Amino acid sequence: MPEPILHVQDLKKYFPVERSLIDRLLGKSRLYVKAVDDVSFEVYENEIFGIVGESGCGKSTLGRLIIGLIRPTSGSIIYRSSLLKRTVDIAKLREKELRVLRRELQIIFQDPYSALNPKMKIGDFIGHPLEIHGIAKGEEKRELVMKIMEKVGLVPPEEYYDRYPRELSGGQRQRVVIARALILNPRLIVADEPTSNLDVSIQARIIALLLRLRDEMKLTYIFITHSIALAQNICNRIAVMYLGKIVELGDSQAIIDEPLHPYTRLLMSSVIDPDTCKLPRVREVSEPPSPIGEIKGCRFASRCPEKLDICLKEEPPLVEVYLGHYVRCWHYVRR
Amino acid sequence: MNILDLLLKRRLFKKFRPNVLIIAGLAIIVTLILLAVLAPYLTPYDPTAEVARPYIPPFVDPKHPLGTNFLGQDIWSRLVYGARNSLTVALLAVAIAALIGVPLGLLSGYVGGAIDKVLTFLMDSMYAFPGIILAMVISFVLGPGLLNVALSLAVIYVPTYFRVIRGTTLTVKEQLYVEAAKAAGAPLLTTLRYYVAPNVIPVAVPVLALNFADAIITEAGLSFLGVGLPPTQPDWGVDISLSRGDIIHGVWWTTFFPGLMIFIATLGFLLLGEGLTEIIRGT
Repeated sequence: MPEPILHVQDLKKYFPVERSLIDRLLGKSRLYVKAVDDVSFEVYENEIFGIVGESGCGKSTLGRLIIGLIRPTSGSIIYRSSLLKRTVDIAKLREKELRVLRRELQIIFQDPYSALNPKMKIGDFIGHPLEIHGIAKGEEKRELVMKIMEKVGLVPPEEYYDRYPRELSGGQRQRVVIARALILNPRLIVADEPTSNLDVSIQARIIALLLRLRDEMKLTYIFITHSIALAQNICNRIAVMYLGKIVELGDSQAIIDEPLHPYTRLLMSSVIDPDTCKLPRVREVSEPPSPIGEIKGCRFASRCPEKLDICLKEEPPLVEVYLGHYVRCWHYVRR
Repeated sequence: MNILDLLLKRRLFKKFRPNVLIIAGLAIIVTLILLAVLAPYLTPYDPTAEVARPYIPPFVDPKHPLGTNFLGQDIWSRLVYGARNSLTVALLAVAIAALIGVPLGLLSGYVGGAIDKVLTFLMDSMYAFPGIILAMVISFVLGPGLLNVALSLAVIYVPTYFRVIRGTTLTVKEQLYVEAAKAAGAPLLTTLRYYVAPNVIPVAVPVLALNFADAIITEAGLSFLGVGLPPTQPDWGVDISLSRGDIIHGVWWTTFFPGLMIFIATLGFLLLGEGLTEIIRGT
């Protein structure tokens, strides 16, 4: 196994909930949304690490925490930087140092319709990071931008360089987003549902592009998606998140072969089989509980078809069932 | 007529209307600017000189087409030179107000926190004060003069820009491309300049035109009340003020023509502002 480049330890991000005036006068205590609650994992060089979960489970927040776009409530994000030639804790870095690290840590945004600055030409938008970091400007910048545009399939680049975002299709816009993330030659990229806002016909092409770029540019991806099928297809390892916690973590293949957590099984049974086109038989349709405030016991218990008495009382620990395959469920805790 | 025709007509009408407003407004404004710029070529007289006998009625003496006032000054000359003063004051006032209000609004909306609270409170207190009274007080303290009037008008317009810009900034701030700026490592000022401001400032353009209209009428008001331009200056407000006793003697033209000019100028900028507002709302 190669060395980890990222080590996330006990990471937490709590967002305070606005209280009404009456609540404040009554002295009710402040409530928090625990978007990310005690998450730990490692990411290895050149792998694709998938984070899977429903909308609202905290996966996008986790992605933004990792590259320092938002600051965590507590915990550490240990990153081995090649630029600074040392190991740093992203959670504790000052803004200035964090800005330098932007060259190594990048993000591909989910919605290419709002991710592009409508008042900037495509080429200038892609190349702006070069100017921000004082790497190149003018002709030199133009050349670098053209090169990266060719790489992401915006060809011929001269034709796209001076266009504005409103003149591009969704797929082209996503290529622009990818090009901008790549222009600084990063090492680690958080891809936040990079295909979920695109037409199905274009999704596959964007995924193929991301995979090709990983090989060409030696990238490491943290791939955030709500589709467990997609994650199992392209990721080396997968973390399944539910309401801010990782409930299962392991190699893709291991999770396909034997999903341990009832939630993972629920996600997998929801996938429509393309061969039979049969609608999946989903046993329950309820929504996850509110992430505001405290949840007693296992957070999945309210939806779990296999819950035990203890599930309602105590939170299960994360246990290693097989080598490198972790699950947070009382069924696997030896008592 | 089928439905498609109807839809097409509707859309055309919708597109057509703001354009008509803007063209009408611009026509008036351009004419006024021409009057102001070309004033020395449009009249042979000094607007402050007594050039003929007083109270010549309009349309009688071809040398004085709009007549003369109680001092024997040529009314036409005073109107065109008045356009100069009126537009200069309005331009200065709006420019100063925008130069202060826009950056503060951007900063307040984007940074938030304590700065935002303090600035918003300050601006709201200013906004709560009746505009003309505030301007009168400031103008009275500063004394008469073109720049002073412009300054006192600017003070009442700053909160308008601040509010409009701050509100839009709050929306733009949530856009992914602003987060993209942060992800690229852009410092605060770079983010504001290239990612926030260009997407916020267009909404202030109609406000600019509407404030212009307000500035013209308020400047005339201040001058009428004697806290605006000094009474020696050719100015529409000053003219009405000086000649206001004439009306009871049947001399209508000394106040009517300056009043008409105020009306036309205000109308021009209002039309432009309304047209721009509709276009911005439409897209």
